[in-house]
Order: sequence, then C-alpha cells, then structure tokens
Amino acid sequence: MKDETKAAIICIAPAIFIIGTFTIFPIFYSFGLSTTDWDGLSPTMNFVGLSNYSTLISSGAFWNSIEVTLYYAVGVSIISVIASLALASLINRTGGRLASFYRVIYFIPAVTSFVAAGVVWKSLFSPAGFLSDTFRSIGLSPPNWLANPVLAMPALILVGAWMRLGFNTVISLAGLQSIPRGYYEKAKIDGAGALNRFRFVTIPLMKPIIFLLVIMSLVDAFLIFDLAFVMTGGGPLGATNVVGLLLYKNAFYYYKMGFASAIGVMVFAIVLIITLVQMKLFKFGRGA
Amino acid sequence: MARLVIKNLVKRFGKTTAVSNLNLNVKEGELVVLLGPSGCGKTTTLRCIAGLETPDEGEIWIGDTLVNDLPPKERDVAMVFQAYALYPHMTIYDNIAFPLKMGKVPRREIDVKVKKVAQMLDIGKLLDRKPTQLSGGQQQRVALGAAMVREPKVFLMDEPLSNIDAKLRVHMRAEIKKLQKDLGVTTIYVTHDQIEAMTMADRVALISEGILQQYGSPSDIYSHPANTFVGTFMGSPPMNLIECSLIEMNGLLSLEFGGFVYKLNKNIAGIIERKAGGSKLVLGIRPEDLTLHLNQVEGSYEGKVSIMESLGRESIAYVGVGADILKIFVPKTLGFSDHIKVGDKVWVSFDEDKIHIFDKKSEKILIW
Amino acid sequence: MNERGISQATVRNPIKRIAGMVRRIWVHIFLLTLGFVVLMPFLWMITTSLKPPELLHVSPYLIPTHFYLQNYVMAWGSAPFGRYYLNTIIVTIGIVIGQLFLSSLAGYAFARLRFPGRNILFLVLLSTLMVPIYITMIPSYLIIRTFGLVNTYLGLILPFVVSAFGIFLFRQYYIGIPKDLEDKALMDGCSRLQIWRHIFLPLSKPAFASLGIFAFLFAWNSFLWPLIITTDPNMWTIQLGLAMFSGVYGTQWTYLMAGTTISIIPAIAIFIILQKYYIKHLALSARLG
Repeated sequence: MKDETKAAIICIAPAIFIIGTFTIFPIFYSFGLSTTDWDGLSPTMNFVGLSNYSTLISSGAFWNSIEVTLYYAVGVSIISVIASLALASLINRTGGRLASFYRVIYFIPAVTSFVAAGVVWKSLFSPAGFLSDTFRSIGLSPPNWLANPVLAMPALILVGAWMRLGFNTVISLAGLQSIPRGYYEKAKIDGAGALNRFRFVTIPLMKPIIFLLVIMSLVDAFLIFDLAFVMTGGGPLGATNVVGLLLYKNAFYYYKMGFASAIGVMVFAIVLIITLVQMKLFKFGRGA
Repeated sequence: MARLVIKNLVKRFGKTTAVSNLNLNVKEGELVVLLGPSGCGKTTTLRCIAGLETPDEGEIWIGDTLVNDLPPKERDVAMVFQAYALYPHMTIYDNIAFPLKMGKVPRREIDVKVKKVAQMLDIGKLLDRKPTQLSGGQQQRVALGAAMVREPKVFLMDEPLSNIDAKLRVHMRAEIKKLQKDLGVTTIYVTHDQIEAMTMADRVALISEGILQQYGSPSDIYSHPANTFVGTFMGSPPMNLIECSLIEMNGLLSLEFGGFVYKLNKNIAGIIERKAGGSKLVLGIRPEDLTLHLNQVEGSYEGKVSIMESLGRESIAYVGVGADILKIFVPKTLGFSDHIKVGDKVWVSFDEDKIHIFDKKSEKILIW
Repeated sequence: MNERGISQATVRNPIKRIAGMVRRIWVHIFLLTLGFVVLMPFLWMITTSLKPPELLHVSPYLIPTHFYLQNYVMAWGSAPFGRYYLNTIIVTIGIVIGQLFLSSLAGYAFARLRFPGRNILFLVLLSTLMVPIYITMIPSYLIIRTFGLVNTYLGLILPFVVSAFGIFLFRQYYIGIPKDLEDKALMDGCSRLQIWRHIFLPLSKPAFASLGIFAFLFAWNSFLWPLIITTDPNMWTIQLGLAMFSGVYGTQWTYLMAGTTISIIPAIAIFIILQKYYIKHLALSARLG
C-alpha cells in the first residue's frame, strides 16, 4: 500500500520535525551540554566530563533545591488528593444534580495561570494584605508569610494545592461515578454503615485512581516554576528555591549553561524514575 | 456495464485462507449472488473485486481490463455497504453527489444526475436532510443512489438488506431486482440469506470456507445440488440426509438404511454402479418430496412422529424412520395435518424422481 | 435505586426522605461555602480592582460596591496591556491552530494509515509526554537563538505548534470512526488525504473543542518559554507582562488586581463556555497516565 505510506509521510512529517527538533534532539543535546562548562555566549566550550555532576552532587544549593521541591510536591500532592477525594465524595453525595456547577467552581483557579494566582496570593499574603488584616481583626498577630523561611514554602503549598484541587476533583469524581451502585447496595445489605462502605467499597475500587492522582500531582508539582518566580523568587534564604528556579538562574543569570544542563538532566532522571516506579507499582496495584 | 471474470483468486489473512482458488465468470448485466455462511469468503471476494483488498494470487477482469493493480477509484465499480456508509455530516444531496464531485464533474451536471437518481429511488424529498434523520429503508435507498449515480461498470452489494426489518426486506428485494434489471448493470450481490439468493439471482455462487461449491441458476442449485453442503444449505427446512449402504438384494442394487431397503430402479442403479466409490452413500430428499401417509402404502416406510410444527398453511412433521428423523412437509390440503399427534405411527414414501444420492466420503452428488 | 441514588425504601418512608433531603441540603451548604472560600481570592481581586486606591483597606473586601474603572484604564495604558494582549492573541492563535491542524493530520495517519514503523513511532511519540521542559528548554532556546527567532512570534509559537497529546487524542477519536466510511470514500475516488479532508476533518468537531481549549489555556497561561525567548518588552505575552507589572506596582494593589483581572478574563470565559469539552479531555489524559 504505497499510497498509504506516501500520505502518512505528509501527515506526520511536520509533527515528527517539531517534536524531533524541540523534544528529542534537546534531550541528547542537554546530555552533551552538561559535560561542558559553556556559558551560553562564548564561541568556544570546553569538555569537562562529569565534573558538573560532581559539583552538583556536592552542592548544598542543589540538594536544598531538591529538598524544597520535594517538600512542595509532596505537600501539594497529599493535600490536593485528599481534599479532592473528600470533595468528590461530597459532590457525589448530593445525587449529582449540581455536580457540573461545583466542578466548574472548584476548577476556576486551575484555569488561571500560576502567574496570576501568584500575583493575587502574594498580595493576600503580604503584611498589609487581606489575610494579615483578617488575622489582626481577630486579635492574632500575623507573620510575614513570604519573608519567613519556615512559612514561605507552606504558603506556596497552599496556593499549589488550591490550584490543583479542581483538576483532581474532576478526576476523582469521574472515578467515583464509575463505581457500580451494585457494590454499595450489596454492602448495605451485608450490614455495612456509611464509613465501612467507604472503607471497603470506595477506597479499594478507587485505589488505581488515587494512585494515578498522587503520581500525576507529584510529577506536575515537581516542575513548579511560575508560582515560585512570582511569589518569592526563590527566597527567603533559598526556602523556596525550587529546582526549576535553580536551573533558570544558572542558565540565564549566572551564564552557566553547561552546569544548568546538568541540572536539567537530573530533573529528567528524577521524573523518569518516578514514572517508571509508577508503572511497575501500577501493575501490582492492578493485580491486587 | 461489463462482464466480470475472476480467475484463480486466492486471498489469505495470516495463516487462514479466506478465498481459495475461486473462478467465476459473470455475464454482462447479470445479477450474481455470492451466497454462503458467515466467514465463507464471499465478502472478501467482493472486496477484492472492489479493490479494497489485494489478492494474493489470481486475476480479476472487469470488461477487458485486468484490474488487479488498479485502485478502487479507477475500476469504475460502485459498492453498497451493509451499514450503508453514508457520510453523517453531509446532506443526502451531498452524499449522492460526492463521488461525482471527486470525479470533478461540473456542478450543473452533478445536479442533473443527482436529481435523476433521487427521482428513480423516490427520495427526492429527502435531499436536504442528513442521514441520521432517515429511516433504515430510506438510508438504504440513498446508499443505492450514491452507487447508481456513478453509472459504474459493476455494482457490488455487501448484504445490503441485513439491517432492514423482515417485512421491508421483502419489498426491497423486489425493488432492487427491478432496479438492476432496468439499469442492466452487472451486479455482484453478497448475502447469507438463501431466500434472497433464490429470489434475486440470475446465478448463484455458493461458497463455503473459501471454496466455490456450486455455480448455477437458483433452480439448478436447488434441484441439482452438487454436494451435501449445497443440498442442505438451500431449502428451509434443509434437505434430509440419510446415511445408507449400497447392497445387492435379489439381483437388484438397493440402499439399506436403518433396517429399511430402498430399491433403486434400473437407470439409477446403472449409474450408481459405475460412479460409486464405495458402498457408503448418502440419500438426500427434500421435505417437500416426502409424503406422509396415515396408512401403510406400497413402498412406504414406517415411522413414528416425534414433533409436529404447524406453520399455518402447512405443517412440518419430524418423523423417526429407522435411525433417522425425517422432516416432512404436510400440506393443510391433505386434511389430516391437524390430527397427527406426537407418537402416532405413520408411513413415509419418497418421490423417486427427486431423490439425490451422494457419495458419503466425497459428499459429491452421484445422481439426482 | 433510582437515578438520584435514593433507595426505594427511603422514598417510601417519609421520615427517611426528609432526613435524606436535610442531609443533602447540608452538603450543598458546605459545598457552596467551600466554593466561596475557594473563589475568595478572585472575589478579593475583582473587588480590589474596582476600588479607588484610598479604599484599599476598607471593607467590603469581597464584594464590589464601587466600580472605579480608572484602575483598568491605568493598567491598560501603563503596562502596556494592549500590546501584551495582541502578542498573546497572535501566539495563542498560532499554537491552537497549529496543534489542531497538525494533531488531526498526524492522528489520522496513526489511526488509519498502514505504514512501516507506525507502532514504534507512536510509542516514541507517547514517551515524549514524560519529558519535562527543563531538559529541553536550554537546547530549544539555543536553536531559536541560532535561527534568529528570539523576540519573534515564530519563536514563541514554533516549539508548541505540535502536541503529542493532541495526536494521541485525535488518534483515539479517529479509531472510532467506522471503517466503512473510509472504504466508501476510497471507492468514491478519494485519495488518502482527501479522505482526511472530506470525511475525518468535518467529523472532528468535538475533538477540536477538547484539544482547542486545552491548547488555548496552555498558550495563554504560558510563562517560562516567553520569559526566556523575549527580551524586548514589546514582545511580552500577557503572563510575562503581568509578572513584570507586579514587580513594578508591587503594592499598588488596585492597579495590580486590575491588571491581573485583565489577564485572566479570556481564559475563564473560554473555559466556562467550553468546559464540557475540557472535562472530557481531562478524563482522557487521566486514562493515559
């Protein structure tokens, strides 16, 4: 069917070209760049082997980055998944009449950009902002959230979870609605109360979805950039200096493109590991 | 219109051979039915003619042209699909006009042709609607129209009536047949329904497991089946098959079955003697060629009624004779079909002119 | 149970029915309240954007009682948000149309054409979904820079004009189109590409809506790529403009919130109109995970 092959070439050539150029080729190029000390501007670059990586591994800043990013990712992931499950259960409880309405309401934050969310929340968190005013009005003295190394990241986590909630709720809801009513009815007949039904019917059947949600939220949160850039710029004292920011600064502020590429490769490796682990675990989860 | 010739067609899918060495010669203007059970290869054959499948071996000739290497659009054949394949997003007008549009026919000419076809099929009022707004029968006519408007050399129809309810089907059968005769276009019609084949075909090609079993007029295939498959496929209820042995009794060749003996007359005996490959034979006789008697009649065999099915105009009696259960038509006109009960003792006689004798091993016909 | 999940026994017993209704009303109250809390930041944003600066610290905080549009005029003029809008619209249109068109074409090829290497290619394509932007962004930037496409619309659009996810989506969608229609089209004289143009493309509306809104949101909300590709403020997209605006007007919240509102309205509007399709799209991407 030579005709089909000819037509296929026309159909997929642009896609292959773009994806090849801007996704596949860059992966290899990043690996290559990471072995140089290039600054991004000079006409020459020197091969330095794996020294960028050894620098990274012994770099406090790098590990700090990884740590705070993980802190953020795990925080957002856990909070948003649990909240979304609860929300979805409640929405389901209402018999689904206003479900679409609620879905839209909770989803609106997700539709706005992280930049916009960051700008709004930064204002809310600021010492003269709405949140602080509210604290004062009930007699508490508000901290300067974003300038406080301990509270800065939790603040970001709050915003991150707020943004993620809608997405996770939609998926949880879809999952809940796909559980056949028959299971609940049988459980009721077998004498299970609401809590037990949740424990023995809902949770087990939702396991794959919950797992999926956690992984998706985790990986997505790990890649945070916009929010941190706008709200804290990485401070205070590196408390929110997530990996994305670290990479960006090294590449475009400090002119260490080779070094930044190494960071990129590390991030890729981490995401790859998480994804592979997920695939393996998912198979077991499915079996169970 | 043109004649269609298929030579030694072979088509395989992986390890299975769907069509095995098929040879078919279709005359100009003929309506040939490819008949057979599901999976027998008839649709595959049709698709090879259409150009939707490529034969592994063999040749397909449309008119004087060898079309094996031609894509569908260059073969000048039009196809009506089982599920109509109407473009859901186009109006009926556009559906019918589409092939002409692809063929770069000028718009005015398209309009004339579409309206003409629509009128022929009585769908002129539906031209502005979309397929989902039409009934099954209407959609089918649109599908026919889309094929007709191309004025092709060959019409191919893939079970066009399967999705239509029974009553409408009877009506559509006649319509399609008339249409085909009026247009005079060579037509290949695929179906698994033998009634469609019997009523519509000029000739029937009966296919089983990729192999052509018999090719002839409907009456030919019905009255003179080439083997037991053909014999039992045609006719409802199917032909009765009685396994028997060839014996010699009192100097005469006879068939012995279940303790009964059927004497062969001299002509038949002669032929059997020559052709039979062994002594194991199969006697075939259709339900309408058996007669049921309430009393013993000369040459009849005793049996016991096991089931009676009343079809209104006639009944079917299932009678155990010897080791076999014979299906026998009992017309109402005989008067006693209402009185026969299960368990009754009855006698069965054969219409001698209508018996078929098959060789048991090869299943082929020896005599009819 | 009937569709509302109310068991027959409950329906018959009036006390249980009322108890059920009451419970559901409480749930609704909770959900509505929570919804209000979730949207509070935006309520604050809109209210603040409509207040004259002096009333910033004066209640009400969440419900606009003034309609001081000066903030918007000021934000629009000073930023210049008009320019950012233009840039973003151009880039968004480019990305959306590109993704819709190219994903449809490629999705068709993977769904319906037989060609050597099809399955491997598709797997490779799918695997690119896992690749984080951080490993591709520096080389992509360098490529754009090498070809002189920094600070250009093309530079902003090109890397995103194709979406592997979009290809997956269209492929799934096209697999569901009956093969008979294709066979018929072949017999009617269509080439493979004509089949795409006349049969598949017209039937693609729902997929267009799903991918379209996703691509729109992606393009409209995009920040990192415009950040590294544009150095000329005239080429800034709206998110970039907003981020820079907030750097300058950091504490002048009335203006800032006006600017923010300006930048999110189109996204919210499009979402509300097409949300049905977006939700469907989500379900698909979840299954992919």
